[in-house]
Amino acid sequence: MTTESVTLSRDEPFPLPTERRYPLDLSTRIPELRRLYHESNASIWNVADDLDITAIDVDRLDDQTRAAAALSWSRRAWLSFADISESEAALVRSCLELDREADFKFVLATRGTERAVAADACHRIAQRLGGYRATPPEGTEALFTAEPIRRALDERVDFDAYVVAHFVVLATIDRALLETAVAATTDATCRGALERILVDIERQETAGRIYAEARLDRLDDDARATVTANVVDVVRLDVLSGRRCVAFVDEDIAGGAELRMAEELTAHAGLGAATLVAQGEAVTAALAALHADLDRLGLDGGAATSIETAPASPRSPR
Amino acid sequence: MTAPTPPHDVLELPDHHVSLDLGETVPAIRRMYRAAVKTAWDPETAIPWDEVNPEQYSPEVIEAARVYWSRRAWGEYGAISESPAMQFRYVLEGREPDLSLFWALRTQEEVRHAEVCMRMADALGGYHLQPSDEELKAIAGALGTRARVLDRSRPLEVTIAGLVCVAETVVYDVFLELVRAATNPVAKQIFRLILRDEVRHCDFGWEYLAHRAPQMSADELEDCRQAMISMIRDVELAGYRSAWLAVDPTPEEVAVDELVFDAGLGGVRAEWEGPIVVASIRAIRGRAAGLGLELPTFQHHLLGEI
Repeated sequence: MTTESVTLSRDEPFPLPTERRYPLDLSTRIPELRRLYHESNASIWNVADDLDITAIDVDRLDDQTRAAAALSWSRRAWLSFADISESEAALVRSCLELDREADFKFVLATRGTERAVAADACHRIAQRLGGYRATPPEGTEALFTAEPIRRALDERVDFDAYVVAHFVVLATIDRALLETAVAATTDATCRGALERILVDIERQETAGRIYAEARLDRLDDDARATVTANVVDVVRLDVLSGRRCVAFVDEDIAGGAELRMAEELTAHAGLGAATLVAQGEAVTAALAALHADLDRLGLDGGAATSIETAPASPRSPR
Repeated sequence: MTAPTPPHDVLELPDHHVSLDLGETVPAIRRMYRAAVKTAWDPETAIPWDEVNPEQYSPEVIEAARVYWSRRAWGEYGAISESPAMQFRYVLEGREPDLSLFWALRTQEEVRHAEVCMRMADALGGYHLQPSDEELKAIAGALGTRARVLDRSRPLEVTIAGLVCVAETVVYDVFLELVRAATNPVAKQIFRLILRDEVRHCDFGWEYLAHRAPQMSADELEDCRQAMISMIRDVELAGYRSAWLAVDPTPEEVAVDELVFDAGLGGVRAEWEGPIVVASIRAIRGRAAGLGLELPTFQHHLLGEI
């Protein structure tokens, strides 16, 4: 078993696992996960009824701030949209393997819906703020082509290692970043959207932790070492690259400064982002908390999270 | 000798997220996505589970109903395990994002359908974990939706024409009548709720083909037409969905469907379902004609000329 970087290579034909479907147990094996699945079913929100996009007072904003906030929300839309196919790919992967609990499959299906609703909301808010941007700033495109489908489906990557990296570690970091953004947001509509997205992300994080706990006690030491190595790989690919946290975007790459500036301006206007300093601190704190959490799961939390996380210092927004 | 592994070369396509236009490109499908969000239901609360009352049925009916509802759950599960591959294709081929938003909801709807069918089987005495050995042998090696979708040599529109526009439409039409025929309140409510979702699943296929047809070549449209013909002639009328339609049906399967139907728990009877299937195929022919796809008449040993 290897880590997710290898799935990005196209040197060999893609290794898709073969499904073993029967016996097909659809019963509840992990009740707490089934409860979260039902909770998600009962709490789907929709942009039209639950958010008043027109209440965002765009007239008070100067052009630079509007454009910055539109880019910040566009970035959230790109990430949320990519999470839809990531969720469905993880769902298919869980179905390909015999004996994966239906409870987790069902939760993954709700995650796809939640991410679709989030993408829709972020797109509409970006539109309201002066225009959704379909394309990242030039030079940052690679940050947003993370190949989520291949990474979930590649049989060379152990699925439990995938689950821990994405649904425990990245979910924890996403949640921490969202909490920081909520705290910095004064606009009621933007804050309302972030709070709703946060509730869904928290539920998915809880589900990921419950499932990891249920699975990891079956793993031997070698398999646990693989899980740890994959966490390191995924944090590097998805967080330290700047993909999920703009504080880590290299300001010297073309377009990097624009992404960073957009976050700062949006944060200062209270429109849905945290400052880069706050984002970097949120990731550092999340990784510190994960150290202990991963230890409790029988993994090497220290190795998984001892990553140089100091982001480049932010420049003045203006 | 094992069958060769079908290609899944869609997964070799590069990620297309560099440019992502999230505006409405296919408005009808965006509306369906929004309707799906608004009308989501919760299997815990939307179904009166305490009204199954299995004690009112004979042991023979109960066992048939367990098999019938377990089969329904296995069928719905196929849409969980296989249909998300459509999502991969939308993304990797850079299709309209409306499709992805809608499909995410569709996948969750299929999960609900599988769950309620499993629960109904359980309420009637116990969900079966797998088909009989004979059924497993019969389906071994069959090319599923995932394999079809991940093969780039099969255009996406062709898969949609066969699997969505034809297969899902027939199922929808049968369910529409089952809501009326079922007398068990739980079965009736399950069919009603599944229908509420399935109407969008069918319309999705037709709306997308209508959107794409003007941009497709004559050869591509012909491939769609052939997919529809094959799905009607070789799958639907051959009895893959409803056993009695087969030339040489398995008597046990037909008996299960009839017992369950007579008890008002779902199922089918040939004399009841035949006119529905005929009407459905005629309606599909009419809808296909609207896209410029002329479907031929079909022959069936029991239904005659359709």
